[in-house]
Amino acid sequence: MSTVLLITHGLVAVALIGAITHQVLALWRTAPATPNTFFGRLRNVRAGSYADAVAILYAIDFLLGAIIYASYRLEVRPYLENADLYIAAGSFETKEHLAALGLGLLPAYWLFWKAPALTNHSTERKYVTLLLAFYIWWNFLVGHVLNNIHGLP
Amino acid sequence: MIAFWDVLHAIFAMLLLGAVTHQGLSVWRKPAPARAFIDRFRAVNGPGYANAVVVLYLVTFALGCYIYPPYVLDVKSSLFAAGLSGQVGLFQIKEHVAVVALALLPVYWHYWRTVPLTEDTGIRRFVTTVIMVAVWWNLVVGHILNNTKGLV
Amino acid sequence: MADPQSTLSRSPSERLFSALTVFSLVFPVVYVVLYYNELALFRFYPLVGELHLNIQPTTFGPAMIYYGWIIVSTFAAAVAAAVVPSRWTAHLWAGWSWLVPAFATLFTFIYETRWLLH
Repeated sequence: MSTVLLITHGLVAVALIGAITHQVLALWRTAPATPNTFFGRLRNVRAGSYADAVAILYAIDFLLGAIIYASYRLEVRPYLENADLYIAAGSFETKEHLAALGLGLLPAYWLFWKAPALTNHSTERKYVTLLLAFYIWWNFLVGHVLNNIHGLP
Repeated sequence: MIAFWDVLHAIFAMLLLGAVTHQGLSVWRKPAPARAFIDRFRAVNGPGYANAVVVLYLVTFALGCYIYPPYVLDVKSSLFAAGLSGQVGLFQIKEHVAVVALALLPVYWHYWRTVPLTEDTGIRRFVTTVIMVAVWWNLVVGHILNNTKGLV
Repeated sequence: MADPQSTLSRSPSERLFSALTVFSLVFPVVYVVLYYNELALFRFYPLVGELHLNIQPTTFGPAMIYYGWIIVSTFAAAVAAAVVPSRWTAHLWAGWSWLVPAFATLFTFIYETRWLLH
């Protein structure tokens, strides 16, 4: 069962990474996107339309991660500590903290994208989105490396 | 170092999955205003993805080939030793599916880039869907295998 | 308690701005304080699948306090979002909404360097 939840957690994370990456690249572009290149098409999206999807996917992925966290604590972390892989174990600690900080950031993120009266807060929108994107990418990469070292049974 | 190449393989696979899923869903879509999230996901310019899908597929395939020997040495033997022959079988299917989709790439590119979009829609749909399903299968199986025993 | 006068005199979008901004400001601060001090509302023991308010013997297996941190931080941030009058936050610089979590992130990375010292 942990494996099914982990794979689902990974797939939701892929969708989340796609959405936030499209959004952050569109938001931070300084010049009009070149429409006929891959990178141009990646950036040439309506960034605002991703906000609900990002918020929902983040919440679902967080929940899935929280459920499988117990298996990690029982099976993986003791292995890491016994194998003296403290940097790997510490990386997971940063992942759990950043996941929580991202959860706390979601209301502000949603606010700066969706509240119609706040369209003048473009700078805050940029930084909040960038921070959330950083959390998502960091957690994805750390999760993948940890999974390489020891999977969930 | 092998973990780095494995993670890179996964990142390219993720980009490929996004591109081919956008395109694979767009090829089945009937023209209509895109309101819901899934409609906006599908309402893309399909031909614009063809080059990206081909390049990403080749890079992902090449990275997969590069990490394949350590898989055979470290992972496959461990799976056999643990009696997990079902998972070995899943990976065998993954490697064959990867080759079949690789062989389809020229046809896929031809029907997206040289044949007018109003012609041969059925073939374009079929080829794109096969590649999309292959990419999804390989990503999910790779993820399951990596969870059973990763490359480090 | 929320100030009824201020609540009535503010538009819904201002109240929404105030509540959501306060939530995102309070959450990281509470969360960092909790994990830094290892303050636990409860502990979850995954080996036996039980929640306990007090520390249990080692036969219960490892304890997890992460769920408690999340619940307490969410609750504290929600309460703050509900009770802080929007007139207090009317002149709040909106940049704090990303700067405070950014500081919390930086602090987290510095704090977790303790794992390098093993």
